[in-house]
Amino acid sequence: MKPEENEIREMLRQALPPVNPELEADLWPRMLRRLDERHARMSWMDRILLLAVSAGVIAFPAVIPQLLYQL
Amino acid sequence: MNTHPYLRAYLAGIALPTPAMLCGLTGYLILRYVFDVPVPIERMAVFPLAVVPNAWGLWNVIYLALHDKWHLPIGAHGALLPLILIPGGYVLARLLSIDFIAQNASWMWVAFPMALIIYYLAWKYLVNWCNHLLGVAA
Repeated sequence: MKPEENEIREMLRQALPPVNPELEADLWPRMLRRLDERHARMSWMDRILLLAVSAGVIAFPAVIPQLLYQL
Repeated sequence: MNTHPYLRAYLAGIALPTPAMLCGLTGYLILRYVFDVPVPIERMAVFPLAVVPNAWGLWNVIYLALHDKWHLPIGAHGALLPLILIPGGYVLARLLSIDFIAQNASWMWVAFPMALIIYYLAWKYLVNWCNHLLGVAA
């Protein structure tokens, strides 16, 4: 290897920070904590809306293909 | 987790319709090939397969972009999406000659309020949960 190539290599090594191939921390426990953090409870109004939609689907089964296509 | 917020918002947005689309498509495949219902599956699949999940992702990106300015609740924001998707789906159904959608347009008026409610609930609880999981402002 030529001396100028060595010089470039050394300059690059100084300019760029070393890359750590390993993650600094395990991300999975943080993910599990987030999964456990919040469970939104459904309000009574939203339950009524859900019941209304379910009743609508039972009363008008012809809308099922329309809903499946649009959703 | 402060990098690429719009990419995370997009991913959180498509997280729900992508597996739901698989379930819907399975239902249609069973109808088509088990019960021999004449559903044009190739043409029919375009809208729910290509348009809907991307629309959800982009709608969540818009929610994130406008959240600080408008303060619209996520459920209400999600309930606005069918206002675009349903007419768009109907137009595409007419263009692609998907008869069971295009010729049963009267059922759309029943499906429309149901879709609004389903979207409202899905966005309020499920997309909001995905946003929280991915650290998108909620």
